[in-house]
Amino acid sequence: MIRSVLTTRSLSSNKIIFQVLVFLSHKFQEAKLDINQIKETFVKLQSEDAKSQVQAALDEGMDPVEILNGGIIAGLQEVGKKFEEEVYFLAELMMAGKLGEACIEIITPHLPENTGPAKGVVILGAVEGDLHDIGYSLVASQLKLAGYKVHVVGVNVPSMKFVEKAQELNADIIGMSAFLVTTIPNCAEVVKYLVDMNIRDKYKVIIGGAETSAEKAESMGCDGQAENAVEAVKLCDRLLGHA
Amino acid sequence: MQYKHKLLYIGESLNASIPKIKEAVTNHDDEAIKALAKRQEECGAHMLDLNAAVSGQNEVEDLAWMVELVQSVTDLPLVLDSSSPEAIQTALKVYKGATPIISSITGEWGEGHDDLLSLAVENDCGLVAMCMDKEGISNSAEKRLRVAESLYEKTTTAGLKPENLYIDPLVMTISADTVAGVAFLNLMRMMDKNLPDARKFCGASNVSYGMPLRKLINHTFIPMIVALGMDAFLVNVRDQGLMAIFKACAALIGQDEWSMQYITAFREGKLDVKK
Repeated sequence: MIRSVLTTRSLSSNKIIFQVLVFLSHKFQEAKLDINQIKETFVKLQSEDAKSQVQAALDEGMDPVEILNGGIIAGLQEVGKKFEEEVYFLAELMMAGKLGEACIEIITPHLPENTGPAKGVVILGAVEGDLHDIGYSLVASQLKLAGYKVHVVGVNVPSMKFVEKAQELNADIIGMSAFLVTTIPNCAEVVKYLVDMNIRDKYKVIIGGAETSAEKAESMGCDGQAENAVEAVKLCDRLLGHA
Repeated sequence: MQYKHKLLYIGESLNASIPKIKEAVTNHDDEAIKALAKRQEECGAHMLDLNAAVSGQNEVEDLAWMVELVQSVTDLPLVLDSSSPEAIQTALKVYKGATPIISSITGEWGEGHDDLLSLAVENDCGLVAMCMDKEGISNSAEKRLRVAESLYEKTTTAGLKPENLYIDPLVMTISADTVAGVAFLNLMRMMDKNLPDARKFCGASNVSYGMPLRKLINHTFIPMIVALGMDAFLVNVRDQGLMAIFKACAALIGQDEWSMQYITAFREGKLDVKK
């Protein structure tokens, strides 16, 4: 392009200088693709742009760990904050989760083998008699994006299965979802099993779901309750000392 | 499409998962419950849903208390809404008048479901059956249809009249799944084809959970599902705009002869929904 501009004799020299400046400023802007720009695109939920910017940043040789932490994760945290402030709606939080997963997929092959251990291992599922899976699926997605290793055990999970899975996978946190007044007591049953087996202090136990509350969690001997997926991440961080 | 079952509006507000009602149930606040029952009747409810489940409280006693209280101020038939078969059994003992609907069973045949089914058969009352099974709520319309068909098979074989079966295909929010609305509409088409005799029941407002201006979504969704054969609605009957939409729907699907109910409602100023 420079050559074509310079060889166009009909152009006045001023015009040529102007065109060169325009060209250089474009070049300059392209190179300015920085981590905040990726983050901002992410926060604005511009899916296609976010994915292509992540790819472009990789192509330009930007540090993948930096793209992950400063761009994607920072963007997700910002979206989570806006959701808590009721600026963003649930659909936007869900969309950000999906976008985060797509970007991480692009970036994973470029990440060094060991980017450090997961923040912790979390078992997640709906208690026996409870068949709601949207809530804990959202929690699972947010926890994964926050750096946790998450094992989803499904819906209608017998109390003992939570305990067995936690032992098998050496979990740090057992997370239970209960949406009905009649199924909430099953959370207490899991705690009871842990106590009976003398392994209560090996795990943090948290609950969530429409009918749960912090008071109920406490009265059942759980370690905490979260109102939504964003809070669930904060709760896990706090319980495991990451906050 | 035959639209053979008349549109049925069930007032959803006497539900203990709503904080105000939870408080009224916990404190046995008779007046609050009675007032809300009356109010929903005035708004045009055909039936009232009663749910008294508050954790830490005695649901068996509370639901029976609520039934007696509500029946002291209205003759509207009730939907006994509980996941505890014992609470429903006890409530049925004090229940008087027009046949109730029992809510609900699921495709995951647990303890007590047989009892609820035989209670519904013996008392010739309605029974809500939700399209979920031990694997939860499938996001595939075909899978949910299979649950619906097996529920139909099971309940009618036990002697329940098809028109007493209220299949709840489960409305899910579009906030969590872009195609939740489409899947539901497709499921409605399949149910009309495969299960024309059963009634279709839903809590339609779930569709807008998490969305801004939920009313707009709800008011748009309801005519769509009415057109596809939904006939029993657990709704906020105090939403005047919604009740006006229902009147228009009934006239449009041939359930309002010469549109007389619609016209009468107009003359009474009930269709003026600008408020």
